[in-house]
Amino acid sequence: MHKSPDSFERDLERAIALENNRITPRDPELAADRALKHELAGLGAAELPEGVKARARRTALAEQRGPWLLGIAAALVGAVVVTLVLQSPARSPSIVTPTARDLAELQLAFDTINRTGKRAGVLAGREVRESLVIPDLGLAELPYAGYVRPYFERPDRSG
Amino acid sequence: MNNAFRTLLFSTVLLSSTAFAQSSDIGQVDLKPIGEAIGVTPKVNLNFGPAMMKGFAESFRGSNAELAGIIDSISGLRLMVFEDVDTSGALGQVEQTVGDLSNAGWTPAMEVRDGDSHVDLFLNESENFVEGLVLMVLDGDDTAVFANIYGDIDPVVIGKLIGSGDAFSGVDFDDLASQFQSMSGGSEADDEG
Repeated sequence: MHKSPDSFERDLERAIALENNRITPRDPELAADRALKHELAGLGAAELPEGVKARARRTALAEQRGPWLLGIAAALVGAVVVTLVLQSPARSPSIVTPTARDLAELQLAFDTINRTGKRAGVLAGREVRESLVIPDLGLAELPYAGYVRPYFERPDRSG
Repeated sequence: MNNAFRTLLFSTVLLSSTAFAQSSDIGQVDLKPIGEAIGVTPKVNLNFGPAMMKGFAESFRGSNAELAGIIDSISGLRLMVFEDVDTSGALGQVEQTVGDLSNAGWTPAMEVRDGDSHVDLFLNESENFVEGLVLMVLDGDDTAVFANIYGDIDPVVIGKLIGSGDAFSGVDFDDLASQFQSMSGGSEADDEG
């Protein structure tokens, strides 16, 4: 069952020689196959004409891009439609004809906002006054301090 | 094809959300949650949208072009007034709104905290206009006023409207109302009902 080391080495040497084309197989069919393979390996790839080559390249690229272009185009169309639907009412609101009651409500709204704004201003002013430390200007030493002080203590010094 | 479908879906969602963001009024704030927090119907509850404001502007166009211009610059107005009700429930929602507006880049123009009295005035400003104004006032624990005005409003008008009281100086609303009543005939009888 076991080959001798000499026989093994001989077989290995023969296999390597066949692989490297150092010897020709004795079998004529095997030898013919090997010769054909050798010839074919030596031939270069046939060059396609430039026109055919360009057309083949274009076809391959178009096949690759097809779904992408379709998807992007569909997305753009969808987005434009959604934009138009969402924006058209906001851009040109229909005009409602107000009644006298609506007008009175508008007046009430402006009056209320104005009154509330004034109230907010009073509250803010009070907070600011309480937070400010009034510097000692030495008014008490002035000859007419009693006349001057009320002016500086007034919130509105316009008059 | 799977990739194409993903691209389609993603692009549509992205562009649609952009379109939606552009279509909404940037200065409009939903004050409804604050009203709901108080839990009663406001004494005054006004909500004028773009169509009504356009209508007001067109109504004034012939008699007072300046006022028409001012009102035309306001896209919408929302006002809620609560009186003689417990408004303390609104405090948490007001603070929530204050946080939301601050995070959204609104300018806190006025903020007063004085016991039961809370005042918050927020402005959303572009380069030339005030695009939104939110005024929230809790005066004591029984009175509250919430207002939102939005559009492309001249800051000078805002200054006059809030506080000085002469935003519409020279405009006699009663006179305009009577003019309007005569223009629109007897249709107001229906409104009063």
